[in-house]
Amino acid sequence: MSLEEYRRDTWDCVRCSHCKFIHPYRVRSLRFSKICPSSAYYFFDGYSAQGRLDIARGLIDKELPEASLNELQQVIYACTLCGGCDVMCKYYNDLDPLLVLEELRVACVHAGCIPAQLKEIIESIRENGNSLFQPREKRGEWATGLNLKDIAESKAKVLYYPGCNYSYDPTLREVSRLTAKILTRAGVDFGILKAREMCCGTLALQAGDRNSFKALLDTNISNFDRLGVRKIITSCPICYSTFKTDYKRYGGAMRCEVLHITEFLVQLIMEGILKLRNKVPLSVTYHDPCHLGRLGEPYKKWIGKRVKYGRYDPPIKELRQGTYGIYEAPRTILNTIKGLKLLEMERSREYSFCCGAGGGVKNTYPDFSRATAQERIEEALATGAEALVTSCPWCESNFKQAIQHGSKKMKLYSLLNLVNQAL
Amino acid sequence: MTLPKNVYKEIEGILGPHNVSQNTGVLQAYSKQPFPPGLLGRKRPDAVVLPESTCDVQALVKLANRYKFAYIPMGNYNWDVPRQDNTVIIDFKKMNKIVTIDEQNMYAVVEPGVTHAQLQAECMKRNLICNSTWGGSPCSVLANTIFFGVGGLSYRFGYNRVLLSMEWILPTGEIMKTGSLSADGAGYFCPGGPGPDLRGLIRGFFGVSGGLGIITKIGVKLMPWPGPASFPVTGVAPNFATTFSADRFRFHLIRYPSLNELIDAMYAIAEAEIGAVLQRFPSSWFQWASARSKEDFWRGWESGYLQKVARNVIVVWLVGFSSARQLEYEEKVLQHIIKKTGGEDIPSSDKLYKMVDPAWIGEWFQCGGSGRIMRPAGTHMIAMIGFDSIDHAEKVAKRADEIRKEFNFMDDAENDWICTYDFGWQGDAECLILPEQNEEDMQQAMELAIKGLKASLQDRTYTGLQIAETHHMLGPAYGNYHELLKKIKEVLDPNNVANPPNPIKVDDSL
Repeated sequence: MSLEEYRRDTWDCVRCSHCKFIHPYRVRSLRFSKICPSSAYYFFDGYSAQGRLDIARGLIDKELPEASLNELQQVIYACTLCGGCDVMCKYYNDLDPLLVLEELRVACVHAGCIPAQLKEIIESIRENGNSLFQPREKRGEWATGLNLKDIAESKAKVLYYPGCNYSYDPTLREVSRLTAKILTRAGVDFGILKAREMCCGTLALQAGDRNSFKALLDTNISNFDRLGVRKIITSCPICYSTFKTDYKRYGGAMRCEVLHITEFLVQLIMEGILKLRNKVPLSVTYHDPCHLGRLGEPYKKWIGKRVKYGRYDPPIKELRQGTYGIYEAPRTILNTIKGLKLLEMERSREYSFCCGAGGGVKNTYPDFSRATAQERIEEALATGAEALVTSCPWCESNFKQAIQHGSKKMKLYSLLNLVNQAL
Repeated sequence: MTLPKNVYKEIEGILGPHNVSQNTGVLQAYSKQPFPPGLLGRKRPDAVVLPESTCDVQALVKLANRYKFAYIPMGNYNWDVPRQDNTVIIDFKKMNKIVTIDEQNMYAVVEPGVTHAQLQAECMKRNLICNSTWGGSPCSVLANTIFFGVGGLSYRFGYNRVLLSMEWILPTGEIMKTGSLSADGAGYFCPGGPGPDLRGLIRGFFGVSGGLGIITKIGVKLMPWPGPASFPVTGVAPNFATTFSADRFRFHLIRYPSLNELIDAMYAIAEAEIGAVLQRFPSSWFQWASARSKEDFWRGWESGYLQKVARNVIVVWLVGFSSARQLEYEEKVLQHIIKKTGGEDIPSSDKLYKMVDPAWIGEWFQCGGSGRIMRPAGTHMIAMIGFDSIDHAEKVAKRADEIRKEFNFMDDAENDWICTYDFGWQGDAECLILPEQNEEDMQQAMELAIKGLKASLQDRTYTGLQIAETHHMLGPAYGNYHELLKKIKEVLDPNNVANPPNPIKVDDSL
């Protein structure tokens, strides 16, 4: 794809501003009615899907010279790519703002205008196979002492893929260890890749470096194929949506089923394999990670062109409207835990407000990232819940930092941690 | 970029550097309107600013007069873009406070950045409701109220009657307080006095688009809400389902054999002073309201089903504002009228009814779907407007059908919007076309609109499209009102800095 192919999308934006707010039917207060973190933080319309579509239109119609990309870099990259705008826009029209945002970044990369921090991350992925500047050989250290199968050496029905953050980040590793223990306890035949595990490539894609992303896609798929992997369970929603959706978008043929750990745990609970017996007396609110929720819904490839009235040829193009994201699995787990009370935030499910970590923003615009996390924590506090629960390492890490550095204090749990308490 | 650097620095001094931008990306985001550049002209602004208070706005407007740069106040759904160099956009996203909701006296005071959805959500918690605009709930309450000012409940609560007192920065920077606000401590509750009541000056049918200064706060009248504390909806988008309690809310679709009988029924219902909503919708509305994709719309429309079953259908919402007994009374009266006027009360099990229920019928209380009108072709235009009585609306709608046939737009003829306000005292026909946003279609749309205006002049019917470009054309037919409008603009805005050429062109430079 190229930016020019989205001309129709850019012209059909009518500045209705729905991309800046959650759906009116679901607005419960003035305070928590915005959907776009970028617009909520920067206020100027350039920092919204509408404004970025205008920028794309300007570039396509040559109102803006390519040389202006240098100046446009901040406006283009100060976006978490959370997809809130996309879900809102698609309720009203057949536009693809999220794909336009992606194309704008690709244009920046072509023009050499990628932010330095993202460039370094991509180099780390290329050199070390991870986005965290860590040595490749230490990737499997999280599993020390757990005696887990190395899937390259002994066959297993399931590949557990923790992803970069759950593998390396010492503050998050507990989640991957707990997951492995729970899977073992449930008798699941699984293995891990240890040092052979590679980054899924999402940050390269989000940065606009399509070539690096495609290289990772090829490496990962050929690894999975070579090892005969038929089912992947991952704890990271970003790896989940990358494998499930983005690989398909870029022509990758994943021959294995991909499940997020919450989906798999629900199956185990429903089949009576996993029993949550202990009481966890706690009131919590659940934060839907963007990549598990609205961006976690299935994708069907469509190739064609737009004709009269902007209709599609061939005609059926499925709009990903956030309808089929993974919303119920984590809630079912939480509601199964005895003594635990689940309270909903005003912005939930397809209208969840991003944690602020996505799109490379955590590295490139840390103030914006932290403010976004703090905004979400305030919303969580407004529910009256004692704790905030999530099931994404990026969200957890960003919330943790926001709680440490901000004035608003709240308990924070990974969903797996609560499951472990309830076992 | 023509704004001198020293002026930019002064603006930064007033608002703070974080509230002023000349970033190309930011400027570009305020430069699009649907007409191609050759048609109306558009430019990128020289700067965009985010005031945080009335004082900020006042200081900025005074500066604009001192240095003679133009300014455009911007809401969330505005296609007003700079037509000349040296223009600053004032975006009100940071002036987004609901100053008060006075439950006892049933009014709210809002700043320009407050949206309809936000105010509605806060009102519902207090068993109150504001009029919901069809422009879409991200629209500014203030901008909409001083503009067209109608919405879902205007049939019951009046056309343009919800505007109370105003805090108004005149184009030269002085503050004008209208109505009760002019008396110390009296607040916003009364528009008519003791201070000046200048609603007529800024409101009109199309408003003045900031051409006579900037309103920074208004009082807006609220109505009782017999529903729950939040908009009653379940489901994940787009599979929404609204759930209104049957003892207070009842939705009817009533079909008539012809437009004449439909108009008679509208009069009868309005004369009985029942209902919260009374409208006739274009048959395409059923399709774009319910369609989940462009293809969904076109397949449904091209099946021809709606052209057969949805001609001459009116929407009636009965609401028991005061009690369940009120609803029962209104239901009885409505059934009597349906019988008497030969209507067919379409059952809720009918396919047509199910197209809008349960997903869409709450639209008149919290407008969350009107933006779907963009889905069929990319945009829409109201090509002719008939604003007077219901009879008059019917006459204009018929004339619009004749004219529309000469153009190559989607055929939804003989089926325009006909709305009524103030219990039938006013009628409004809005003749819809669905053009694509390309040069050819927009050119045609413009020609159709001008042709419609000329027809209205000829027929002595209401002339819609009263915008800066058309007053000079319409004025001579209506007592040269444009001369008066021009005089008002010249007196209030001597430097012509308040969003020129609105509300009327005073020089030939644009």
